[in-house]
Amino acid sequence: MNLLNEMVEQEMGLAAWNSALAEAGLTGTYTAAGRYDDNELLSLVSIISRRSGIPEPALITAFGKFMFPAFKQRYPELVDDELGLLDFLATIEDVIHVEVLKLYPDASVPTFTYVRQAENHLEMRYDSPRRLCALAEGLIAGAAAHYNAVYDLHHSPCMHDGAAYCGLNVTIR
Amino acid sequence: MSDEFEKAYHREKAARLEAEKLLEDSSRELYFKNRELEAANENLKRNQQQLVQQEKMASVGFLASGIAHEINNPLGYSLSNMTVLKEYADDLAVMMKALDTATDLDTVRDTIVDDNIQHILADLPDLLAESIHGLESVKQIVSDLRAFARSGEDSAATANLNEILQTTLNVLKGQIKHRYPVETHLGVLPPVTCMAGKLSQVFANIIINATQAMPDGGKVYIETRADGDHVIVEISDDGPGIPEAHLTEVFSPFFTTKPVGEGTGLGLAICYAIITEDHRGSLSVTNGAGRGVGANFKITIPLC
Repeated sequence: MNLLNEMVEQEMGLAAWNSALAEAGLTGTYTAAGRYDDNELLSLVSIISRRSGIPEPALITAFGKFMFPAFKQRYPELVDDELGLLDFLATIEDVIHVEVLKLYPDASVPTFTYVRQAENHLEMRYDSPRRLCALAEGLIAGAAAHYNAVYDLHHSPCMHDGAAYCGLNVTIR
Repeated sequence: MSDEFEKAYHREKAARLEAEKLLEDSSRELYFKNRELEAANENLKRNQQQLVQQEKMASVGFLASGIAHEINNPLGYSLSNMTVLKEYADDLAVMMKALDTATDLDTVRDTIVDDNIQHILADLPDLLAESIHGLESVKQIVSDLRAFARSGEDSAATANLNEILQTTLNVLKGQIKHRYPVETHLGVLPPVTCMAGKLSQVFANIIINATQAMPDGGKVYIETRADGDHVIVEISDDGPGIPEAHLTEVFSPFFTTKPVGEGTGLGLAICYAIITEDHRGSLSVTNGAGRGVGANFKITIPLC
């Protein structure tokens, strides 16, 4: 939550964050160690989306993209610069989520399963009751920027269309 | 926002990040400590299982002479009967041969009279019945002993506590029957889900303790009853009881009043763990509250 705070402050100004909190009726006292109701995040995203004119999915994706460098700065040991984008993405489930759960055992992390379709093509299957696949798209974009990778993303199927999981097919150009 | 406030704001934000980092470092350390503790706990559980089995085997060792006597007695008279039966078989073989080669009936009759076939025929059913009974007794003792000494991986199954008590008493019989008569008052009990081998170990341990509290002999009393959603087993004796100061300690590991080398002090601690942890029941001890005037151990096991 405090990363959303960071992003809104940085991109739209402190006043925008304060007024979004006021409209949502929230105190905005967020720390990394806290666990907050998803509805608080969705409510803030909805307000910021309406005020900025950016559609909610695009806003969540932008948030994911913003999260990646912040994550890298905070946990540099978890982002191996020697890996390429696809190899890094393939470590999320077994390395990053494991480490996150060590620090925050109650954290709600999604489940990723992988199929390496080709050297330049990774199929990631995203599964989470929170259905924040747009956030995953943003994190992929943030990671791609970090690894200087140019890629195509094909998102199909999608949990928002009733599928059991989201297919995030990443192909390096 | 004024410059001063903005500076203060960024400083506070940096302080928060620093605090979060410290918290994460502590959480990570806690995580690894926790893992170590979990591993140590697993290790302790494994050791505890081994101790349970060792304690059980120690009981088997203690009971060995009595069991040997219990087996030896029926085996002895069965073997003696077999010797007589062999002689009878030889006599019958002679008679059959005489019948086979006889030319006249009088000779055959003489042979039969000589060999006293009437006596053999009268004795045979008794000898056979007695021998079968003796061998079945041996089979039952071995079967009870196997049930008692079952390994630590005793799995839960539906059983009647009266039957488990009876099996336990059969195993203990050789050790206690002459000097420690057991008076049983077994009520009608519903079946319970339990680990029969482990419960047998608990009953044996308490009964053996009762006999050890009465070096000059005395009665052991066993009472069972159903009480709502529990079944209750009470085992008491006519010994002096447990000193008041020890009543709260008898279930503590390594607590023993026996001389060094004679008791591990784990028996009742293991009983306590078997009843409270494996069966979600309770085990308590009081003096003079049972049928006997001495210590009274009360075991309560829930029905499900």
